[in-house]
Amino acid sequence: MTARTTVSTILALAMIITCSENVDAKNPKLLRNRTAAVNQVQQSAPAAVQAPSHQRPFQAPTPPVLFYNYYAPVQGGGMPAQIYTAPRAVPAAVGHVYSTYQPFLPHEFLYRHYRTYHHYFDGGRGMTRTRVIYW
Amino acid sequence: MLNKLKKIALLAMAMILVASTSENVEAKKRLLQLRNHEVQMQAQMAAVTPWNGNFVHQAYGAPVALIVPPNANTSRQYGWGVSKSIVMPLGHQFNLAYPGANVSGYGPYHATPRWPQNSSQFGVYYLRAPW
Repeated sequence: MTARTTVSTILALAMIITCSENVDAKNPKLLRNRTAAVNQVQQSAPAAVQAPSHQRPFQAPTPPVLFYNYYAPVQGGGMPAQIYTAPRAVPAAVGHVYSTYQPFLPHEFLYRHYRTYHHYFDGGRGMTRTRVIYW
Repeated sequence: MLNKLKKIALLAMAMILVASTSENVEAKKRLLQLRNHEVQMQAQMAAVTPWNGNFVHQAYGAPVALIVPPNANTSRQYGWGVSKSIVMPLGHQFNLAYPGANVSGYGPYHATPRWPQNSSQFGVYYLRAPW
């Protein structure tokens, strides 16, 4: 009886330790931090617009564009280059070559992916976390 | 007796589970700090240095990016002579920022010398793929 109690206590302890991993307080995906981050971006936006395009800080397009290309950084004086030769910046009437599924773009096969998805509900009081690992 | 042994084994397994889990979490936290620091250093380096060297590829007439996995850390340059082979941190990475149609401030670049002394003179430079 004593042994059973001990085992169950230890198992409960193990579960508590496993679940008590803290979420980073500065996580931008947290609702309360997200609002502050959005405000900061909106305040600094006018200055960023005035700068030449190649000197602007990194800004991902929102919403994400499906057929977007990746470019080599030119901030330090490097030569402009793109990772894929298509789609190029051509008129809409000209033919394009697309990779139709972004997760299968060739560069995604270069490393092991660790992804964590946070979903907040109930006004930020509840959260589900999904961890995915894939190649 | 067997039942008691079973219980002891279960207890030991539970203890190992507890120990290993907490250790992993601690190690992860320590490594995460180091990783953040490394990412910051890479970004700073990429902001002030060009991704390419001073030489063009013979076939393309421009420096060529050799795409490496984004979690690669270093690039090597092999050269003749003492201290000419170096390992450099690999800070630059493809990103979503469109450089613009008319970008200036780069070049001019040199052709590969007739007798190359260094692997960087072939005009191929490592550039990490995007995440």
